[in-house]
Amino acid sequence: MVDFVTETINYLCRPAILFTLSSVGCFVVFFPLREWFGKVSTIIMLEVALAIFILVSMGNPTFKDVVLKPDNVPIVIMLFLVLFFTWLYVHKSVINDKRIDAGEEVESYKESKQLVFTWPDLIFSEFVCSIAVWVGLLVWSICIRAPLEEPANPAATPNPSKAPWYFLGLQEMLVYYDPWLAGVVFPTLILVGLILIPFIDTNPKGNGYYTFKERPLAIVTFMYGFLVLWLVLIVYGTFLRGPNWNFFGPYEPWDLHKLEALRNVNLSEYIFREWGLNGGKLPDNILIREGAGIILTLLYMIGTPILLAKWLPDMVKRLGKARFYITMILFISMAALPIKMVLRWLINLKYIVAIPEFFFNI
Amino acid sequence: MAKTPSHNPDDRFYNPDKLIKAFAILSVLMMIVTVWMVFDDFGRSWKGYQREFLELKEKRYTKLLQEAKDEVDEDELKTLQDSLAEAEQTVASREGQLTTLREELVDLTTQSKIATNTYQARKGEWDVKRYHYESEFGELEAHAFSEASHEAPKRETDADEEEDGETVEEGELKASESDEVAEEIQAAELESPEGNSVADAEEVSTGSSEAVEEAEAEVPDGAHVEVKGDVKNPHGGLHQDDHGVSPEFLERKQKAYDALMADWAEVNQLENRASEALVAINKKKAEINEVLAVRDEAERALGKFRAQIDTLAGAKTSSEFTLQKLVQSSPVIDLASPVFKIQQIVLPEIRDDLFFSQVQKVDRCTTCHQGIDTPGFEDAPQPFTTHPRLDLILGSRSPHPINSIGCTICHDGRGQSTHFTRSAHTPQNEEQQKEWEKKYDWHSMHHVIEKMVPLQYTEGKCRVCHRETEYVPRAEKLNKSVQLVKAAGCYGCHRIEGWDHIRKPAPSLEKVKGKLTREWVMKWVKEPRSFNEMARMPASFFQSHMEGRPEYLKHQAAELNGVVDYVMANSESYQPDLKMSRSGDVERGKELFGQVGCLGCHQIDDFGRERGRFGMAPDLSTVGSKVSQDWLYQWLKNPSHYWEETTMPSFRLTDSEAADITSYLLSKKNEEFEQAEVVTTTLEDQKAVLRLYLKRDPRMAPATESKIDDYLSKLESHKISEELGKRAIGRYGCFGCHSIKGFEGVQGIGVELTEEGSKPIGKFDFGLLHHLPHTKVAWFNQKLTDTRSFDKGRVLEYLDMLRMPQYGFSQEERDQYILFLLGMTSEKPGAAKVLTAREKQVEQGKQVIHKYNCQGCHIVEGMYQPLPDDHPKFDEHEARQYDLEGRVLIHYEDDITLGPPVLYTEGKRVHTDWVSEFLKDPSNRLRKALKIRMPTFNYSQEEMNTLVSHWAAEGEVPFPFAGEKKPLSSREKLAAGKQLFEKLNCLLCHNLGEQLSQKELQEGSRGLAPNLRLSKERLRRDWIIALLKNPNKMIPGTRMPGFWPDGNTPAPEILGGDSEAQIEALADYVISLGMGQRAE
Repeated sequence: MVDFVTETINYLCRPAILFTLSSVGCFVVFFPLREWFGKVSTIIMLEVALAIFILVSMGNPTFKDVVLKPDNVPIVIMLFLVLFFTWLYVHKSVINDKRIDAGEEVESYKESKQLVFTWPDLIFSEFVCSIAVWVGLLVWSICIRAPLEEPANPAATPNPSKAPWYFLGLQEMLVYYDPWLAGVVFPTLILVGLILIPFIDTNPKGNGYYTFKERPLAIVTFMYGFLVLWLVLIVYGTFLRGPNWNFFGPYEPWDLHKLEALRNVNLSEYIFREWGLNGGKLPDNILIREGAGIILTLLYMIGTPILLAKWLPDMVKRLGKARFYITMILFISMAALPIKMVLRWLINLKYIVAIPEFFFNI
Repeated sequence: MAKTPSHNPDDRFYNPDKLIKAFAILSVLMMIVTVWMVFDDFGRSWKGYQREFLELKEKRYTKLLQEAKDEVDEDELKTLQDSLAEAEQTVASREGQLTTLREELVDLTTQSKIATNTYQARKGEWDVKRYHYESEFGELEAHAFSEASHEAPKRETDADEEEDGETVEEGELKASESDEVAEEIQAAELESPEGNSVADAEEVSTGSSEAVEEAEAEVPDGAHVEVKGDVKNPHGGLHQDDHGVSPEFLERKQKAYDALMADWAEVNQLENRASEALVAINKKKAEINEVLAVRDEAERALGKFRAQIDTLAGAKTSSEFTLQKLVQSSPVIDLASPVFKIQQIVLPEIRDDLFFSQVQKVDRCTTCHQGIDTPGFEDAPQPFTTHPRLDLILGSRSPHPINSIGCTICHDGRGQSTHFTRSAHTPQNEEQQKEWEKKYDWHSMHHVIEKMVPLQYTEGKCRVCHRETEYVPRAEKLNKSVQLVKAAGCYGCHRIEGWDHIRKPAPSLEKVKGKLTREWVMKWVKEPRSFNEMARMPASFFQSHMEGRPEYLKHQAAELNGVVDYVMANSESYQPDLKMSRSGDVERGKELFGQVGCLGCHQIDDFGRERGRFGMAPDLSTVGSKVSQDWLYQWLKNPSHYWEETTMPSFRLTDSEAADITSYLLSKKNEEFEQAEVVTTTLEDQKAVLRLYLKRDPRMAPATESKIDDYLSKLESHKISEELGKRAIGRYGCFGCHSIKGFEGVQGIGVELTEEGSKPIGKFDFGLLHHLPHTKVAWFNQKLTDTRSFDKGRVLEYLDMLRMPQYGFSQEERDQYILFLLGMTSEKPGAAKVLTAREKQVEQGKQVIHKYNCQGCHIVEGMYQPLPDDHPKFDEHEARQYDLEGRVLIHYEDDITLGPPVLYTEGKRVHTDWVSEFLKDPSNRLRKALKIRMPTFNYSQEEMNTLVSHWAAEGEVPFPFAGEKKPLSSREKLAAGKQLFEKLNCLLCHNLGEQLSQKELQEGSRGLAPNLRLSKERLRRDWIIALLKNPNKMIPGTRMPGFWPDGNTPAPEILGGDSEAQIEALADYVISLGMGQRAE
């Protein structure tokens, strides 16, 4: 029985499954199950369930080692906090949405309209919070020793070599994209995108109060990007990636010698080898060889925004052309990650465009 | 702000009461957590240990103090105390005089202070004036002086260049062409007619410098170099109006100088007055001391008497934990002057490798191990125990003082840590691990690379510094390991740096056809220990990892046959020269075998098998089932006939002796082995295995079935076995130990062991043996227990299976290996031992000694250095020399003087020439009654030289090692020597080379001591003298009695009873016995 449960959980945690589940879960929580999720009893139940899951799983040595590793403690705390704050938002937005529907004022109307004193209302409450944080940090630092390791040795790097926890999402992206994309372009786009939000999003709705119904698209997009594309990947990098960056289920021992067959295929190889175009030979000309991939990529990056502009004329009007296209380019860049992941899982696609001659792979 | 508190709650967004409550609660929490933090930081475990050690120390000093007090002579103490009281009374009676003197002293002191202050103030002012003078006038002069002297060397070359031009007379130069310099040295400008000399100068000079030169040459002292120089007229003919040096300037300067000097005289006077005041004070003090002298002396005498007690009392007080110390060591206050402090040893010469940089080692182990270098805590509990053998390690007078080697260079671990677990202590065994886990909450430090070496293996780390020595003096455990590693022949396959010169560990197989039969070799290689349980050779075939792989067992049989076929086919033929013409007597052979010295290297069941499997030479208990009669007879008579490189010596056996021993050895048979069946194979099996090899042969690559078929079809069928054998030998590495034709100069198949101890744990393949602890010790132990066990459970191709042969080591042997391997590290400490030229000579000699196994019979190792008789460890040290294990001496336990002579102090004892002659031909025996023989070895000339000079170097005989001058003794002295010789009855044991009767040889002791006629050729005079003084010190355990115990003479009537003179006379007489006679 125990074996069956652990095996099932191990299976469900495989990247393709867990990622798909969490993507679907994200939408389910925000659309059909929103009201249920926003209940107080739900969050208590979920937090307790999470705690019980972690505690019970401690019986497994691998799980215990990974979860109790001093480096990983913040991620465990993060799980609880993210759950709570997501709930907090949903909880309040459900209340507010009802009020808005009923034509009443939103819950934090006073906060958002009335002026309050800096002292004592702001400074004093900040001060009290800072003490609470201090107490927490001190207790943490007394109870858990700094996880120092051996002096760095260029001849013997740790396996797995892991980035700091907040970069593990980026590191996970390296599984699917070439370093220049996953390590350079995407992080830049994320930063630029975050900086641009105030300039792109000029809609005043939701300012100073929680709401969902007034901003469903913006909120779901952001929450998907943050919860699934960032935090779920961090959880992967922390708990489920072991030696050689292989996937390990939460109860699976981290065996250095675990092997996984690498049989990923480039799009061009599909076209010419699998489907037998050009008599099974890869063309010598790089542009011809990778033509399909290049065209697909260009279509995706240029064609999609144009198509979207046609389909969503209202939105173009509301945002203006410049804002609209910038938003869409950022949006489709974000969507590129799950798309590539799905392609990898379904057809073992290695690269859409593979030009190793110039270190240019997409 | 707070001054507008509102009573209307609507004005406040948050509820202030709630916030304040939260603030109050959190503040209290913060307070608690802060206190917790301080105590968490304060409560370090090492403080507890230091506190405990204080108590231990106090106890110890209290005890010592009591003992010292008990020993004190009460009467003497009383006398001293009385005389002190008396002296005090005397002083008291002169109190009046003292008071006056003291008052006068006070006056004088006041006066002196005034005088000193005045002088110092005045001197200060003068210094300021001097500074002003120097900065106004001095700099100019100094500059000119330095310019001039700077150019001096250049002038000579310039002058040389002018050779055939118009000579420029010195002094004729006009310096105006080099204005800049001239300005600076106006005073040196010369009077010179303008004209051609200027042109000349221009011709030869390249710049202004020459002008300065010439000027300087003319005015060698420089006009202004000395302050007291004649400023007004420093040198003839100055252009005084030139370049700013006006007469006014010079005048001003002179005036200033005069004023300065006048001041100086005054300062001098003041200084003198101050000194006089001091003299007066000292005089007065002396007067006072004179009065007090009686009392001081009495005090001093008492103090000297009580010195030890006072020291101990002081030590006791300082180790008491008083209230003051408690306060001093409480949190925060301990910033100022803590009682408990971290102790550390900084070792600049020994560095820790942090990969990107090397930092000096810092060991803080002594923070807890407080008694480590203090004698007296041997029985104290850990961590206070004294280090064992302080005379060798850590003691301040030992070769390894604690402040220059620290701790972690030997023990490893994290020296900087002061916490039990985090300093990476490693338990010795599982039992200790459990104890530690309970007691200290111990766990292994995963990230520490150099964890502490388990205590029982620490000695291996001597090698980190003692790299150049094969056998490290006094490291008995390590030396046993080295002996084992050599005997088991590990270096045959695994390279070990510094061991490349050692001969292959097993016999050559180049003539094996002439010695052994194919059938015997087949059975032997399959399982050497089925022939003789003491066989050294490991088994390569049919080992544990083949279990459950029936196909592979067939492959093994095929390979085994191939290997033997190859070796036999590639052997030269060999025929013994000699034939055993008479039949030997087995009983007599056995007796001889025990007597002549075979047991120095070999062992045989009839005489005990204490050496175990890894002695110097094979166990002969079953040799009768191995070799033929003629071969053995020939081998005994002349070993190098069969094998030139053998280290087996010739015992100069007579024909009958050789025949007896041959018969004896041939009677030692192993019936079971003789009846065992030979493993067979088929041609098809052999072909199948050869196919596997061919598939991987780089010359076949890329290999295809048809290519291999083609190759096989070209081979004659009998060649297939040999071809397979050759490849199998290459794979199993047989050639690492044996010389085999076709494998000359091929590298051994094993991993190099030179830095094995530093190999990171991740580089060891634990296979699927997950139950093993992830440590090097566990891995080595497992590998040596079953060399192939890491293949267990794995799916492997035949040629990928492990190949290290199975030795079947005992646990003790495995531990010795682990000790050796953990010491083979990549560390290169700056403090490493570098041998001096003399030590190098000794070391090279030792290597030859070990090659020929001299130590199998004699006690020769350099571990023996005579200690001074009064050395505290004398007894212990002497006892250690009697370690007879592994030596032939073990058969002479009752009386080791009947065995081979011990070679203590050999270097000091014998003349180099004599040793050399003796080693070449030892047939002229010194002690005729000894049954054991010194055999004739097959040394090369070079080895002989090394051996001989090594002894001289060890005995610290000055170079060149031969020919010491013997003082000519007077006739009277020799006569006295002769008298002593007769009185002491030396010839009771010694002989003078005469023929001894059989009876004398068997019953008397005359054949047991050396022939004294040889003394002149053989012995050094200094050594004879030292021997006569105390025979046991030079040759422990000797039969030779000491006739002059503690310098008391046995013959007071000779030479006036002067022991020294008597000993010298006897030594000279003994030497004179050999005069006019040559060694036979």
